[in-house]
Amino acid sequence: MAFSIITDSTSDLSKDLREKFGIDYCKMEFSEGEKHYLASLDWDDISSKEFYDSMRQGKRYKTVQVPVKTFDEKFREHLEKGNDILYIACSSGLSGSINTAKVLSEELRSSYPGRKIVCIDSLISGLGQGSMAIKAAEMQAEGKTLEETAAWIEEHKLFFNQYGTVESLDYLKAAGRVTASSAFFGNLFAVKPILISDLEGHNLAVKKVKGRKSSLDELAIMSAKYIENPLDQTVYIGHADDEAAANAVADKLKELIPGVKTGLYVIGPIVGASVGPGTVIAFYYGKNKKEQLDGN
Amino acid sequence: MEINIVKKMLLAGSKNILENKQTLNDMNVFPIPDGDTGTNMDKTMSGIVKVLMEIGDRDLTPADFDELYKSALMNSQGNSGVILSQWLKGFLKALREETELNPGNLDEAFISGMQSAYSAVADPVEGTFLTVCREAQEEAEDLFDEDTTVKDFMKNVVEGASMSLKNTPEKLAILKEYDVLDSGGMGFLCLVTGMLSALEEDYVYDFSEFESLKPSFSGNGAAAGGDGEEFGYCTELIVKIEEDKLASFNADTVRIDMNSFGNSLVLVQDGADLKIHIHTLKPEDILAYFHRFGEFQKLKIENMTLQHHENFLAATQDCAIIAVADGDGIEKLYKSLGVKGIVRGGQSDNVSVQNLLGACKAAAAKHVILLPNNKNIIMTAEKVRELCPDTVIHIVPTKSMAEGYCALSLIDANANYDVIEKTMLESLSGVHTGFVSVADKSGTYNGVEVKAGDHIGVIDDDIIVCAANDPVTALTELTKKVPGIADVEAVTVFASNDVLVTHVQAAKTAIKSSCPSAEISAAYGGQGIYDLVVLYQ
Repeated sequence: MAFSIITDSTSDLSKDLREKFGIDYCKMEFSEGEKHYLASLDWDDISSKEFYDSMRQGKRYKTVQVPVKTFDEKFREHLEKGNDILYIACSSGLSGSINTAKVLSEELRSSYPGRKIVCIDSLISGLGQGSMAIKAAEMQAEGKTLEETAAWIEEHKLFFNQYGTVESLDYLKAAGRVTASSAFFGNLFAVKPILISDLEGHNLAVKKVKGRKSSLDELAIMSAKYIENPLDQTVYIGHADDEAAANAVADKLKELIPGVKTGLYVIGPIVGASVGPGTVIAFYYGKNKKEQLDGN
Repeated sequence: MEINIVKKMLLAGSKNILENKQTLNDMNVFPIPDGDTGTNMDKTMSGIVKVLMEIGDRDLTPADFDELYKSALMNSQGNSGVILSQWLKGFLKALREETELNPGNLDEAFISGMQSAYSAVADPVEGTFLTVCREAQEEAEDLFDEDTTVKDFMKNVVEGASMSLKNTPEKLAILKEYDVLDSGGMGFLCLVTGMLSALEEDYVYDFSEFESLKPSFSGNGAAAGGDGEEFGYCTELIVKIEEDKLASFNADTVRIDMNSFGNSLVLVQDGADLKIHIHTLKPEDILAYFHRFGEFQKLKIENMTLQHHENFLAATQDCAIIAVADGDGIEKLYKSLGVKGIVRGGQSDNVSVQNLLGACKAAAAKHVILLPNNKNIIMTAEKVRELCPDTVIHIVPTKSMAEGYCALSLIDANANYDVIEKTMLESLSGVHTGFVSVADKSGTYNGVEVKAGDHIGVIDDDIIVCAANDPVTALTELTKKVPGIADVEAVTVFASNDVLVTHVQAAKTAIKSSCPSAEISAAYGGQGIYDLVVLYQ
């Protein structure tokens, strides 16, 4: 049976990518004081520039996982079309959306007997999660079934890696979305933390690097070290309103791996609210996260 | 008892969660410490209240039970909300065909709720809502006999939930680390405590608190505890309210008053006994406030900041970092980066072997990493190493406060001593320190002519490289002479007490001209002798 591939707001898939690969997504939400926004990846309610500038000026956004109602509507919409569902969720280490989706799937079972809803915990966010959905779409296009696609993703999800750096750990700390010792959070000047995604899908601060430029170089160097088959994939480099920095990472990576394809994008509002302006993250398909962890 | 009592029980449970929303938010550290457990559980219960409002005074039907659950699920938010909705699913399902509520079917409902909650989570974690809802039911079932009434059963559930909740830090390490009980488990206790209160004869079933059932129940406003950086005092007391004051005593008024005193308030009144738990920065105000009502039966005040520091120290005794520092600013910076002991001293005020030895011994760690702040102190440290055979002392030869900061800024203080030492040593390669101070005598040094009162620039080992009338010019000249300045990526300026803010700004601009691509930061160091100490990385 035909199936739909659905992600959520942390997959950071642009409209172009979603349309190209036929991927839908469930919107999370975010708020600032009494103001509520739908976490649109097309920045419908607030532009990315406005969003990140407001954070630079001190605004803080609270994020809300995908509401049950949103899942209910979106899943029903696809089930009504006659499609089964493959939902690739934001890491359970960062959001409870996967759990909500599983509970709701159980509920929907009685209304749609015999239909399938498979929920996969991506254990990552951003284009790591997004790339998994793209991969699923490619497999679907090759004629793979929902089961075959889901099984492959489950088996290979720890190979979707990230290397990121933030301007300040304060945002991640306030959002409760980083694992690091308290001394990591001390008063730092010009020292930048490097973040990977661990086996539970948490952001883990693995080391600190002197200076912004060194930290950007580090992203490229480490990505080049852990990437597999670099010429058969696109390395996605997300940035929270600092295109020059993302370009610097892309340039360095191309210097290290001539011919590598890179895709730059602006980090969406949910990931952005947690990581803060200036963040740059590189996503690629590479060695198992375990190897990456042991090497740090 | 008629099954309709369930309406009252659910409403009272919802109300109690609403009242404790802020406390629940403040306690939230697991699985993601984003402070929304209370909000999530309240939203879920608001789904229950909406349906109860529609049902109004008429009798419950089986379809109502389905509606109650569906609304709870659809209104649920966050992990804690979804798990609560699943507990409600099991609880309501078990009772949907019943016409009366008795201890037997109530027990069944609690079992069914617990099973449903567990099945909602792929990897159940103990020390959470799940544990509390399970152990509460187990306790009530253990105490179950033929005389047990519905009210007795609920009392035992509350008792069981309360005991289980107290134990959550033993089951979930992160709770212990933050010194809190599990917020979801606390939410369950709030739910069942509310449900119990509905069984009191004088319980009034009214929706007044839920009239504006919108998502924007505002929080309890002013909380003195701040954003988690401040800890304050955990203050607990029991007051026996004097007889003549009992009639006029109003717990709700007290609750409102307490909002301006602190947060995490728990207030329980049982006849004349009043039990209070609050986190506050000013425990003396709490005592004065409650002393008006009567005598204290019990008092406990703990400094949570101290507790926090002790826990922190106890956790990392394998390796301690001790640093020599000569300014309040730098001391603070060092501590924020994981330094356990500071010995005051520096260029003008050399540290004695005895002081340093004392600090190393006081650290009571297997390994001590020592960070001197000038050449002479490196030598002192070598002596300390000889005199302290029980501790392995690792000396990282930092010759300035700037180098000390540099070494500390790249480490993870909880890592192994060997990793820390290696990272520190590596971080020091290619690093230079610049100093600006006022010359106290005239002369020619290193080919530079200096007049007393001039601002002189010094790089690393006491080499004077320039002299000028003002500190900013001296720094500008000095920066140009730093080896490899064009490749410097980061510059950090530490200013003394005597430096004006405008000087610091000017200094940053001056540095920028020599190394345009460097990130330049400034901090208050509070050091003696040198107006400016500058780290070039």
